[in-house]
Amino acid sequence: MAIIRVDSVSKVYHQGRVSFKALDNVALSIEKGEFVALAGPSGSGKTTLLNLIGGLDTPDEGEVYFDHKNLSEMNDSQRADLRLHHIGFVFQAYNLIPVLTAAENIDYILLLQKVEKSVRSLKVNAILQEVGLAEKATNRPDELSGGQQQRVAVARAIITDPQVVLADEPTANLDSKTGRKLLEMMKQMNRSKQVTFIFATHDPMVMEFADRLVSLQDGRIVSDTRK
Amino acid sequence: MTTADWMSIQIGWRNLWRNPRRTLIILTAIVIGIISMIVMSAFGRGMMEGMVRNSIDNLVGHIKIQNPLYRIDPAVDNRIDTVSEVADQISGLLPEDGRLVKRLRLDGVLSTSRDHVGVMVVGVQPELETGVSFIGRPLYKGTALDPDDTNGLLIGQALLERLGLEIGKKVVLMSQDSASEGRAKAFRIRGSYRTELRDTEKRYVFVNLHTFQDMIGAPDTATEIAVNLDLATTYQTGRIEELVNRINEQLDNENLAANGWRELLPAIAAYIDMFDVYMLIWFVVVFIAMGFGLANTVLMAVYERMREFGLQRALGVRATGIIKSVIIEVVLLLLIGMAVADFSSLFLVEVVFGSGIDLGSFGAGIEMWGISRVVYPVISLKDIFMANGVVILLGLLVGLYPALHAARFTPVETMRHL
Repeated sequence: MAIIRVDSVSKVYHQGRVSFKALDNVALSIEKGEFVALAGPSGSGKTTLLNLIGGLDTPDEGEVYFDHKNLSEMNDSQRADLRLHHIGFVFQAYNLIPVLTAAENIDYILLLQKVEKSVRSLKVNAILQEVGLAEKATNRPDELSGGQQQRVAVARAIITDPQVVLADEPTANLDSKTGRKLLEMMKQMNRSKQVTFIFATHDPMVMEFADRLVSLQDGRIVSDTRK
Repeated sequence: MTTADWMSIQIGWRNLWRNPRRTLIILTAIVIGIISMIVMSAFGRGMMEGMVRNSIDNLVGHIKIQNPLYRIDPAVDNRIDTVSEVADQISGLLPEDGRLVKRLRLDGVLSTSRDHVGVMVVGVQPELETGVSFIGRPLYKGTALDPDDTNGLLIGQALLERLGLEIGKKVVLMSQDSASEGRAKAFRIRGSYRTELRDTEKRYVFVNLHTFQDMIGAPDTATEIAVNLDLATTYQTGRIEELVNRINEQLDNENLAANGWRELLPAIAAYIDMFDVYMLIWFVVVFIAMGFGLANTVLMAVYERMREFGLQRALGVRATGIIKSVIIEVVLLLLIGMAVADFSSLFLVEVVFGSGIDLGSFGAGIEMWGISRVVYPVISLKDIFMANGVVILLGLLVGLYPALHAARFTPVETMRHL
């Protein structure tokens, strides 16, 4: 069953007098529990596609369905609620709120969901253990390495048991060893919790981990292969 | 308040101290602004309080009972006959802290061997004037009037100097008697007084009430009965109004009326009423200057944190949540500023300026307005609330501008700034 359906989506960005077609009539369907990599060179449209799937942006043409709900028919607040309750995000950098500790960054999303304090504490401690950062719980982002910061971001993305985690170049700022560890962790969560992971990446290691590789070029899908 | 709100406050608080220098600079501006509001209003109120006290002290009193015609025409015809009876009736109505004095006040001429000068002759009960009017205070020179003294006179130091007189010299007073005939009597100067206002020193001479009554041939006569209460500030007009009403209701003599000082000094009363409006305008003007700095600082902080706002939006925070978080920071900034400024203002007013601010160098100018040479600032809760209210209300309005900016950042826009 498709958790995400992208129907003939196009997106044009305008910068001054110059227009740039980031996506051109893209169609894609992603099943629940898939581990998908959207690959392609810079400017191929992978981040744009990820943003449209996450409801961070709206298409100029076509429709994006998340769990059969048309995102174009939702208003800004409804899309924010959808992201809060059903989607986890991991970005390339600046993933964490600098003034909050690792534990608070994870707790923040549960707070927004109005989860009770006792439940929150349990979940935060458990996820910090799971990502191997229990001893770094009270450290602020500037006291964590890049890899540790990304692990906190992953922990925050999955703590709410989202249906989908969207990750935009999550390994781009990490060395290969740290990147691999992070991917292993996400893969393990994908298997154990049946969370759908969608990556925008041009990192070969991410592509190697992915079960499905969707390649984009000039805003079009040029190949879609399952391993 | 929800736990999420507490988290927002915690985030706001920590964000404030991410750039301590910037926060301290804007805090300094807020603190100085609020201090200027409160201290200036305390100074203004102190000046006003001094002005009111001087006027009340200047033979007005908190309440005065007199023939209403006397206020229009201060002639002997408009006197109070059988004043002791009236005074007894009023005494029965007074609260414990009430003090009552009778005075006979008529125009007259003071003559020396070389000069004549128009004066206001006031017959007083010197032993009762203490705490009621300036003549009850210690004299500048000489000795106080003995109640049995039948030819003693007190004169203002300014008039004494102007006429080239000395303590112990003899003068002649002329005034109208009860039949509007001229009467004269010789007096000896027993002492001289000083007041805040030199005009007062040049205008009033004091003799014993019974002496003046005998001189004009009208025993048991006065032109006014003054009543004073123990009031911490002259703004406590509620008790005065209550007593005025009670006296007017129960006074048998229909030719007499009691008035509070606000009715006796309408210009000062109107000035006091307008003072709050002046202060509000002053507060708004100060805030406008401060508000630009505040808006600019918060806007800078917002632009610096575009990515964070984008991240929060991506995580599912609504636009209203972003507005709330920025407003919380503004409110925290204002609350810190207000707390520091309020305590500093209290310290300045009560400790630093507690012993008064000497305006002696502006002598003639301030005297024209009846203001004391030494001003004791009066801090008023109303002014503190008004200053803080203006700052928080307008601060929220000013804070809305950067908050709305922050809410307009979309996650995609901010990601492009990565």
